[in-house]
Amino acid sequence: MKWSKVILPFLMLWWHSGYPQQLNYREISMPEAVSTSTLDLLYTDSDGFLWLAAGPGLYWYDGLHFRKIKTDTTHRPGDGISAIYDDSDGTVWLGWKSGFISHVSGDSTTAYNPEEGTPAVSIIGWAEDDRGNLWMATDGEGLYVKNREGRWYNFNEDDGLPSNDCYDVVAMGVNVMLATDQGLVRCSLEPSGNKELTVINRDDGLDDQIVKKLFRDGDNLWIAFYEQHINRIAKGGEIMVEKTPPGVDAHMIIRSGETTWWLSEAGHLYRSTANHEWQRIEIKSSRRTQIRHLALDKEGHLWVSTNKGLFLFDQWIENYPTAEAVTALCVKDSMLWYSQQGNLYKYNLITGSGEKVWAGPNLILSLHADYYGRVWAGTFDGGVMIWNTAEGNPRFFNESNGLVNNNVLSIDGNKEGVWLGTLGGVSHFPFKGDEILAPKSYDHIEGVGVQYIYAVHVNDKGQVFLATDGDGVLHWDGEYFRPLSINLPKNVVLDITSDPEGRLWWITPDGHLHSWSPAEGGRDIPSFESESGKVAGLLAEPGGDILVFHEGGMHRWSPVNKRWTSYGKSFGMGTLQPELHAQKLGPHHFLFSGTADGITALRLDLLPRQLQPSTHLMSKELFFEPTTATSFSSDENHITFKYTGRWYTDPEGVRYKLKLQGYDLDWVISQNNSITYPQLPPGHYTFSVVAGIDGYFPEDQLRQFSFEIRRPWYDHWYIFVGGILLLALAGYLLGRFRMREQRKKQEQEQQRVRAQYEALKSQVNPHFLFNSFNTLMALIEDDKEEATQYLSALSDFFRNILKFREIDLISVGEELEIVKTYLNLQERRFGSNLHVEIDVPEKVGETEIPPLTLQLLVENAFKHNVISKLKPLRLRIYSEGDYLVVWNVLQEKNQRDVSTGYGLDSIRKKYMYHTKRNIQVECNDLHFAVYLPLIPKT
Amino acid sequence: MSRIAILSLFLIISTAYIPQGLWRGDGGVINFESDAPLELIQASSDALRGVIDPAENTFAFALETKTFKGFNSALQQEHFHENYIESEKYPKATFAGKFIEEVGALQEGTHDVRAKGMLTIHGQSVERIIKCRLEVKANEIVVTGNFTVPLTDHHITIPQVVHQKIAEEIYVEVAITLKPV
Repeated sequence: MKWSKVILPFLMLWWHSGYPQQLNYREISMPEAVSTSTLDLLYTDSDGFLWLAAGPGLYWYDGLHFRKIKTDTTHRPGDGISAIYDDSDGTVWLGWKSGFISHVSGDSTTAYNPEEGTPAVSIIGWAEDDRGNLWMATDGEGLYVKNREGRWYNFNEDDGLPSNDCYDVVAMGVNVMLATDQGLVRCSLEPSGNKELTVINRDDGLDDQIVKKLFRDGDNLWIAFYEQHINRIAKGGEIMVEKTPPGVDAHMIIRSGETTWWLSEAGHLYRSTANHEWQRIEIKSSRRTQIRHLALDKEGHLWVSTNKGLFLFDQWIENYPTAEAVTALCVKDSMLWYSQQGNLYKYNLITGSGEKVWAGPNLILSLHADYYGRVWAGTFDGGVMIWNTAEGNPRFFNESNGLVNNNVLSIDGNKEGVWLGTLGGVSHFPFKGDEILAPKSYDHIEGVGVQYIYAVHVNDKGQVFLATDGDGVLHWDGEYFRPLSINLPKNVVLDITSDPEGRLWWITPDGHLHSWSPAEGGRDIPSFESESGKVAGLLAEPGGDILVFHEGGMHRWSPVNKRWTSYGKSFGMGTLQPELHAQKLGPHHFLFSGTADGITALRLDLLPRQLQPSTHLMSKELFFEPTTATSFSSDENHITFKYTGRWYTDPEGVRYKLKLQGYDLDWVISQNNSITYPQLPPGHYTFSVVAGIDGYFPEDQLRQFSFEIRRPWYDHWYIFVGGILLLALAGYLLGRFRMREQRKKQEQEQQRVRAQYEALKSQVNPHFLFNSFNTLMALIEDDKEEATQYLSALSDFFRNILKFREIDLISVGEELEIVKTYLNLQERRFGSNLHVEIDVPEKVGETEIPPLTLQLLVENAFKHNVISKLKPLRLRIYSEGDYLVVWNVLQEKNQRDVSTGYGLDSIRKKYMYHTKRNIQVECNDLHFAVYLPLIPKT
Repeated sequence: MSRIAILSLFLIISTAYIPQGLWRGDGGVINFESDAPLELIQASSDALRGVIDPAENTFAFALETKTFKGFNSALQQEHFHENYIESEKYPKATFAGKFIEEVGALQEGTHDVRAKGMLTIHGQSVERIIKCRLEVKANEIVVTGNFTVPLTDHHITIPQVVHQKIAEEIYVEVAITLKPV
């Protein structure tokens, strides 16, 4: 019940003294359009991208840009998004305060209206179980679930749900776990539609009934109550009570790494580490900052939304600022000892309280907590001081009471004793029980050649190793210090350590890391690009990685992956001081390091393991329109790819290595997160892109997309071959056609020539000439004037024959002129024995006719018929319908001029070229007529 | 808690919520439609009976399936009753359960509510949430709604030969007027 919230802030007002630690966070600048006052929900999707909801506004953030998703609140003005979830199909679901449901499609949202209707109350959470059922918890109507077929079911109090008011829902295998203020409920929906429901409450071992918030971490379910310890249900189902501090009314809980809890409550942010009390974390040092929502991303950042904006926490690091540089430190249990100049402090990591233990003149260079809890402080020129935590004052050892040298640079030891490295050799303090015995000193006599010892290292087996200033690494064999191997160089070694497998690692001041084991001998490690200067120290992580500290931060060598990883300034490391090796491992995966302005605590379990950006091919676009096709036609050749390297750690540092195989010859490095290929020629392509930082592009993040641009329809071999065949066929047909045409033409020509020949032949017919000349002679004697006219007519006649013989068609009128000339000539001869009637209307005179046709027919009439006074030749030329008719009476003479029959035949053929209608011949005992079809003028 | 507060507020400022006691109705109309690729079959009954108890938020509707009339032929109607719905063996189709919304608090006017209950047809019960509309008046409540019934839900099997003639999902419309008892 919610009345509890009123009391809670007072219960949680514990506050600690001492140094406030600073968590590394940065503010994400939001687009102006986002009103931070409504900024609320945060959600990281399965690709690790962050979604934000601010009232009805929804945004997607890739580290550089906020993409606004258009949402619609016309269903209910003033509505706001209350739950975001992406299911295994990649659909992003939105639940609204009004019960409205929508999902994201592209840059906008689509309303979801199932047949069953939507809730009338706020949707508070989503979850998808292993059967693919999508669950939706509400504040007032219980739990809804949609099966794979899309049918919705409801679990409410009528089904045995202890309350219809749900607080949280989390999927665990085929079940979901539901938080209510009447206990925890395990629900499942079988494919048959069978609903299963089990209530887990105080009777089953839960600490309380009011379950506020759930957090799933692999097989573990963590349960947060109101004012109780967090409970855990492990895989087997047994309920365990965690020793987290009580007194929480969680709005959000997040478990991170092995030991860290984050919690938001009543607008405040709290953190607990290693079951220590909840610590309130201030953002922007303003108590008015209201925490709204928390989310963990895949890179290990904690995102916090507040009324003042969006914040990103590097949860793996925290800084404890101090007035001066910290030169040495050590950790014993929850107590951190550290030195500044000659002063020694201790700081309780749990309570946050600190105190000054010692103030002396000599610079403290080394600190060591021994097996029995005593703290050893090595000084410059002042020997060593030893605190027994039970006592207030230290014991002193220096050159006057057995120490080999007063300048103590390094201390290490185990249950058997403590070894000190100095600028004059090595001192060994053996223990007898917890009693410190008198020291033994070793110098060049025992093999410590150079005598400047930068580091002593005692490994798990109690073996002692020295890092020397010019003699490499020396090893104590019980009597003497000897080189590890005669093959190793006698160089300057700054620090030495050994990994969990017993392999020895050491580093030179210029950053060269070496490793050695008795079994395998030496191994050279490729040196890292130390852009940032001198080495500060060396540590082996419990996980096996080797950490090298230097002025610019930290480098991590992974012997498994054989790769360096840089944790530079962007990881929040302070400025380290060279050569002091002020780094020590603490409990709960803590690593402490002295810096120029305080102490940096690294949380090794929270250090990001995703060390490179993850590459996502966001969309493929055809002419800037999203497409899912993989095969495009030849004119669909304008392709755009959008991709993102998700890397919230340093989004500006992300570069892309990309290539379009089939187009680009080489890889291209780009800062843009999209590329367009316009006018791609047909072919098969594979687009490859990988995001990287610092010039390193992880191959496993390579994203590829293969597609094809098809050739145009005509660009195929069969079209080509078919085209050639078709062309050949056309050529062949054309050839044949032309040949036929030519032959036709030839024939026509022949016809014409023969017709001319016939005409000429008839004209130069000796009878005609003879008759003509006789007539002429008679006329010359009788009438010279008329003789001249006759001769002129005769010459006109022959000229016309010559003129028209090569023309295909002439007008009927022109032809009649020729005929009239001819008839004129003949009239002289036959006088009244010739009755000629020409009746052709002017219209018909304009139609066309093969030249000399009428002439030929008239001539035939003269040729074949008797012409006498008793039997005058009657000849008519007239038009009848579509025909021009040459008609004569038939009075055949006994044939002297043998007819070749060619005349009529040639006329028929000529007409065939010009019209489909044939000439018709009408012949009986009385008359002979030829019907010539009229050819209209073209 | 907040809901109870709102509810009690209602009690103070308004008396126009549904009077308590049972609301009952007979002669409600139910139409169904099977829209298959090859044939559209429609049938209806006006013998739907229903009861709502606003105090308990419960409802129950029942229908004698043999009252379905219509169809495209007498033979079809016979097949429907004998082969598919088996009206002799399973004479009743029922839908009974509780409303998700609190209908007892509804004022006069039109309200969209969701009825959650067991839909029993052909002797097979399936849990359904069915959206319906309540028109609340001074002395009657008109309930209308529509939903689909997948035949597989109720173990009604269709011979392969008539697959193209009978839809796999039957569309159903109901309308019934309830009056206080």
